[in-house]
Amino acid sequence: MSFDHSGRVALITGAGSGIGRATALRLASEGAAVGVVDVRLDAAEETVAAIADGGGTGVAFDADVRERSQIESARDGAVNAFGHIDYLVNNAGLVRMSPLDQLAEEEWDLVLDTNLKGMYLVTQAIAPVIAGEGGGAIVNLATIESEVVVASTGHPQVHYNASKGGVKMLTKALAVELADRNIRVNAVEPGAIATSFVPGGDIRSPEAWASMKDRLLVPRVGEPEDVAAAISFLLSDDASYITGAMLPVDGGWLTR
Amino acid sequence: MRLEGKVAIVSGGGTGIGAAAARLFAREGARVVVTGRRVEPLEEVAAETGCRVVAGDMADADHVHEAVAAAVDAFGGLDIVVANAGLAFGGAVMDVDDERWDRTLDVNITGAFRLARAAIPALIERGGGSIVLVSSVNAFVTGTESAAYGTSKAAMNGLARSIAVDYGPRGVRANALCPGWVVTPMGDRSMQDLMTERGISLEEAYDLVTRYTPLRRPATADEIAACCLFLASDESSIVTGTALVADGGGLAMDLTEVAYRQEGP
Repeated sequence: MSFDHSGRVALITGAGSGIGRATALRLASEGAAVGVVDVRLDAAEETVAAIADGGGTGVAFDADVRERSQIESARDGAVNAFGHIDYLVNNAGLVRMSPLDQLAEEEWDLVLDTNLKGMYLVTQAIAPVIAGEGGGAIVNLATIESEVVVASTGHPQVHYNASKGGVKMLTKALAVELADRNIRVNAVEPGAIATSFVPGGDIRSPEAWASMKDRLLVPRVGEPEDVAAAISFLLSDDASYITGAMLPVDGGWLTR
Repeated sequence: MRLEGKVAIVSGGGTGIGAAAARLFAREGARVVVTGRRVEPLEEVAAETGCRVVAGDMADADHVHEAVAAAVDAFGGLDIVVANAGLAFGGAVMDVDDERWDRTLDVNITGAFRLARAAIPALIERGGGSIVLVSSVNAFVTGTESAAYGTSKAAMNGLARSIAVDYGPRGVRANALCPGWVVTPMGDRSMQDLMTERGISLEEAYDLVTRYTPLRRPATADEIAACCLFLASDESSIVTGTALVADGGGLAMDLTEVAYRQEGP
């Protein structure tokens, strides 16, 4: 165990797969009880089963982060189950790719509402609970695309970039506003991570690696566990002086 | 034990952030070489932790080779370098004489460069390693009359990127760690002018310089050492070429926010 989260309670959105699931498993293995929130209940339940297999504690909740009432139900369920909440990981998100001239308003809204507005709705619902317990920490999922437009994929995504640029400043603004309630707020910026996040993309394929290997300063693609480790650090008391910070977990993607 | 089996060099390891990092690394299983100018504080850290001591000045080109040789000879190799040794002289550009400019740059940036240059072959020998350059928020924003220090810290972030880019393919990671105000002997010295000018205590001076940052307090050396540990350990194995800011939220906020926060608790 690296970071000690014993006795802490974490709520993680989008925890049914990918980075969210890896983070749930990691925090549970380090002693936290985890509220596993996902828009798909079966996915959340799979994560909870994996947590239980590792001897940890988790409860599944289905909620769409775009829906305030669903978020509040998940929050109330987690408080009922665990008594309090100390950590929030705003992980739920999605990407769509469309050039501007074909980008439908519905798709813009889907991406912005999930990635950015959802973070506001969830944080607004959970922060008072964290503050009521004397404080805690929040980690938001930004991306290297909060900093740069990754055009190498050839897939335009102005809505995704706009949403994740928004996450960066939302993180800083929340850090400033919530500091007096003893809540630290930071973001991780994953680069190329081997999840099913990008529709139709297999990041482990030889073609994908060939296109990336000269871009990266480490000899492998990132794993969800790499991001989970950074999230665990930022939530932990080891990061007690870090707030309003962006932490790239990107194999050096942003370095050059 | 997050550094089981690892060997680390911590420069400026006698006091402040360096001493805290040396103690923490030793507790986490690392074998540590501490360097610094003054022997007594280094010996104190060594007595507590079993660290090796290599006394010397970062501006001395031979010193860094002695430190690397000590790590390799005593512990069989090298995995981690924390380039932490640093000093601060005040002064706007017109106030800084050549001697103080050279001394600041020699210790803070040239010393870190030479230490990295001496250490990288040993890191590569082990299949890679992690270099943590202890920089400052002054790499991004600039306080008054801090020309040489601010310049040296901005350079430090560039050095971290260069190492990451050039030696990443051989397994060497490098990151800058950028703290805000930290309670250390160096921080204490920086408070002296404020204390004299305002007739206030050391604690009040630290409070004054941090009261409008979001966390409203300076860091402890232990808090910054914990950040060094994350960057040094395999927990951050794909984190490289970046700058980790640990400043209580200071950089997230524009100074005009101060006016609104003055009425706060």
